[in-house]
Amino acid sequence: MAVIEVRGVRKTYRRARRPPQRALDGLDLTVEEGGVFGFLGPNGSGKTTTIRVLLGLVRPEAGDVRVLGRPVPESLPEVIPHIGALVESPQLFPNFSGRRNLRLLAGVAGLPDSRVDEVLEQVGLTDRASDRVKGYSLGMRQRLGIAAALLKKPRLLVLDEPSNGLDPAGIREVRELLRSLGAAGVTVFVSSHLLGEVEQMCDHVAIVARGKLLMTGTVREVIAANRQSTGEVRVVVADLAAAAVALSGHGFAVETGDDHLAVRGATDPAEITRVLARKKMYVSQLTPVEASLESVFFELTEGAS
Amino acid sequence: MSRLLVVEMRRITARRAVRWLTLAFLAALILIGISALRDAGKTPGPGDFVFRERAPEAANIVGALLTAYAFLVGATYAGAEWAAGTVQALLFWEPRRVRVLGAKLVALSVGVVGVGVVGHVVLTSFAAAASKADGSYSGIDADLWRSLLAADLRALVMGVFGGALAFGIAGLTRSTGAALGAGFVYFAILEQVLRGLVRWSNPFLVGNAFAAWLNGELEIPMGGTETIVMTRTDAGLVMLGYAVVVVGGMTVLFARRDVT
Repeated sequence: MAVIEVRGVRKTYRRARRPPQRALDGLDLTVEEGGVFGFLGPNGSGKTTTIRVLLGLVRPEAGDVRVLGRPVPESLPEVIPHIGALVESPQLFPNFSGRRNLRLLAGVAGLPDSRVDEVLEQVGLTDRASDRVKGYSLGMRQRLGIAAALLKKPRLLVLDEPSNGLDPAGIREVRELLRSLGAAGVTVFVSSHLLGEVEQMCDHVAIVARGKLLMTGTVREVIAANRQSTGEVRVVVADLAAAAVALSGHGFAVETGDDHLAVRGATDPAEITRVLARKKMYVSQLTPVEASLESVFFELTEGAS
Repeated sequence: MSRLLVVEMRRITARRAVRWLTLAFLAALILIGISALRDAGKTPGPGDFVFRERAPEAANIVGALLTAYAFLVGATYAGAEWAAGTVQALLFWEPRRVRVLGAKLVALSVGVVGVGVVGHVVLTSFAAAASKADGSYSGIDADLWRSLLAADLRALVMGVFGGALAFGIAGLTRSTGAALGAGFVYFAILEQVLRGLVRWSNPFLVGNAFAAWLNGELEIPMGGTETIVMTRTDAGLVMLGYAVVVVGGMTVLFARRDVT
């Protein structure tokens, strides 16, 4: 079942004395239930606007949006009890304690105070829960924002840059928390700039630029679909210069590094060993260079932006 | 809605600015009351502090101070919500925007009425004490209590109006400072200029409406020998008109505009 379905959504921001800014330009997106879904795109690509549209904060001028099977924003009151959200920085009263902030939110949904303590424990803020939020570090505010999003025990968790301001240990904790939620059946929809994080954390990803979907699929699918264009083989031989001449002579593109050759254009790495063996040069290392999500991201978005 | 209202009540009463303003409002009334008590004690011979005459004045004093208090609370309440972005956070829990706004406005009004009632009790008690100390506490009958109750209710209505107006302006501008600035510029400058230079606007000035609302009527000079009388009903309609325009405008805008 699709938890999020976005079809042909367009949104243009119009502000006085400024040119119109098209944030979403016919965006299509489908997020299936369960797991962690990474939503990637460069700055200004429409990620946050998409999240705001999903949560009814921004009204698109065209297109259809369904969340948890219901049209949004019309049916938002029915589905909002099942959605937890954190958009950009957490919105909290700086003069209230972390616990009081959460209790006020919990009160809207009639949740017990014990649930507040549970989520504070979950994000590691129990010890500082009685302190005023204005004394929190950026990372602590972010954790509190995540705690607020978790309060409702949501079926869909929408997080915009949840790792903002977190130190490496915090980033790892959030990653593990989100993975465990995804594994437990919660659909975690997360936008992030940290491509390495997304690659480790997410099952599926979508890459957007200029308000359009460029590619979506599992992390492996997205990387695999772009591997051919990245296809590079790292070759280590005793005589780099002679090997480079031999391989160039067979039409491969060769770059000579300090201790290896970077060879492109071989449809099969065996071609490289064959060419070198004929010249009595024997490879000691032959490694296809795997594309990463980061390389795919840049390849896709540099063309689009 | 009731849960939302309870949360809004907790939210507004927990705000430090609101607590300080409430303390300042009550302290001002207590100072006025102490001053009346001291003045009553200084009068040689039988005092002239007649409760029957002075208690309605006390209600008007409470009304004027309550309106100023409510304006400040309304401005800081709505402005702080936008400054902290907590309106957006609340929409993740209750996406019906008009309902969110309604709960906030009702919470503000309930708070203003509650504080206003306390204010009335405080100042009326001082008036009673002063009249007993050095004056007259006689002629207290059902008619007096009825007229006092009516005066108190009018003061409360004026307070709620002040709070709603500031809440609306702060919501429209998304800023406490803008609402307070607008209030200051209007009363300190604009209304004075209009009163002197744009005579036809006089029946629509908020200050005139307040005076007519509290006192029953107000004679307004319209230039030369011409005057018009602004009745309490006129004053009520003027206040209602401003409240509908400002709060209604804010509600329509909040319901339609993007929250970014």
